[in-house]
Amino acid sequence: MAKIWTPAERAKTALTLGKPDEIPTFELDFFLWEELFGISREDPLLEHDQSCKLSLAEIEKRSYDLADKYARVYGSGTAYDIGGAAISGDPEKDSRPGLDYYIIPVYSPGWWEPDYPVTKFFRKRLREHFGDTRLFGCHGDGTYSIPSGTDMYGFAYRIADEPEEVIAQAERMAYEAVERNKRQHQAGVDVMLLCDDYCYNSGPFLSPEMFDTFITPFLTKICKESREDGLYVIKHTDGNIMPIIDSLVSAGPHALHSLDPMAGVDIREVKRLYGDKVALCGNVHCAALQTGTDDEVRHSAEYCLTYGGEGGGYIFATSNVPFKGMPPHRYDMILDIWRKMRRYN
Amino acid sequence: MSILNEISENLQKGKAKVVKELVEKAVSDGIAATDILNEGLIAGMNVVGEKFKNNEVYVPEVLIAARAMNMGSQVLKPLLVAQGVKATGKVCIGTVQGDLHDIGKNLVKMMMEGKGLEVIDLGTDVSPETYVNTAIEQGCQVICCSALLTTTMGVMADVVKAAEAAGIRDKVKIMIGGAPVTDDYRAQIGADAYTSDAASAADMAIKLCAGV
Repeated sequence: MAKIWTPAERAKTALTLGKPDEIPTFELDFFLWEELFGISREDPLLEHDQSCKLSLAEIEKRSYDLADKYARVYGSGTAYDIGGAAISGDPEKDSRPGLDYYIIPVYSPGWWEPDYPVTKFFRKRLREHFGDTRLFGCHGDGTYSIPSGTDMYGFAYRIADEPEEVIAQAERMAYEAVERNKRQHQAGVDVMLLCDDYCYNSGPFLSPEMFDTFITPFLTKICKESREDGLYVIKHTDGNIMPIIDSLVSAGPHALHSLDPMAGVDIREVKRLYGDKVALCGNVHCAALQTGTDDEVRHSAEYCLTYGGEGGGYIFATSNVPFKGMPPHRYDMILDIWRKMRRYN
Repeated sequence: MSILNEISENLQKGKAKVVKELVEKAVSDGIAATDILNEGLIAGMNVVGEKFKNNEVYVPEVLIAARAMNMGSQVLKPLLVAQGVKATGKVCIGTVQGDLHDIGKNLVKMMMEGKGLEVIDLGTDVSPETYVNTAIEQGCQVICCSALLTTTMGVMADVVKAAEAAGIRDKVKIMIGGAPVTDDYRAQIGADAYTSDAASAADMAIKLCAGV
């Protein structure tokens, strides 16, 4: 009798370079809730500065409502399967199935604090919906990312003038990330999404040598200790990673995410070079989704499923996130292609 | 090695204090400020710009080279002003309205200053009117627009339209750049130049200022 896979099993298998029965999908985050499902994930009253005005029972109720909405958007059923807060009142939107993510990004208000009551109630309820059939993911990085414009000068000068201090700070940041991630694991998170960006379209912010001094050892520490704790680790960065990809792979994440085609990263080539060492996520062309033709979108999705999915070790995703302003029908288009092509023969 | 070469070499290595001392020595040796600027500082930044374009050096190295250039320039500035030496051109630069990303814009500004251009930095979230009014008031030859987001790059078309409406389109060139921007898009909105990286943007601005 054929094995019946859960979405979580498929994701775990892909993350460990195996070949499940079908290619999983997820996104680091998803911002088209209102456009596709007619509901909002915002609940200002659950934010830190407001929730103190609520009773614990009210916090529990609102957190459960939010979890119900998450189950509606990221699960596979319709709004009517869940009811309550998941219902938008728009029959067309309510009757469409959820996104069916295998890894669910869990960003309730205060998500970074596992002991925050909203976090606890929200995740408890979400687990009631999904049990262990889905993985939960949240941010967990602690390395230097590309500094913003105003901070860029100071960071560059520090690298030149006081490199030991920069390294000492990197050590502290990594230690804190490891401890944070362990607490998140205890609070029900399965996958750490390391989202500090390192690269522009033209290449990395730091030279490969600097990267190996100021980033690689600390990224390695976060990956290693998170893995030892039983977590899965997906390393995301935008941009052209090819000059530093050896370092990224050697740091030991389960998967690399983004594989930014706008920066010239070709999933077929990455798969050829590194497919036996690290799983891959993403590469569906976000700029095409935004401004390209339907043919370009279709080609990008099919290319990723064909070459990324070959032999397993791939999770289907966009090269960034479905952001506000992305035409919703375009995102639907790639999900339709994924549904048609996800099954391994 | 001549002192001008030494200035160039040390600038490329980002040795700001050494560059400053060498520039002061060159001045006291009687070398013309324009020669120190062009054959020492700008020559050094040109090498850095080329290496940056070829991915031989990266952003931090460019930034510390630019810091060294600034240290040297500070020594020369009063002498150049006294001699009535003008910049090779004047441009205004900013990230377009609705967009707060300034990394690319700052890199372009730095590379342009390294080429001896006077750069008016309008910051981020810059309206089309601000670009145009600044160009008129400050006598800029080039307007440079940066955008990181596909949702904000449309403002670049509004800048072109605003320049046309203000009647300065034949006097001011408009350059555009940023991750989602392409040369096709430039042609579509009627801007004058698109470049894909900071060093090329500086080269292009020099050409546009020179009327090439």
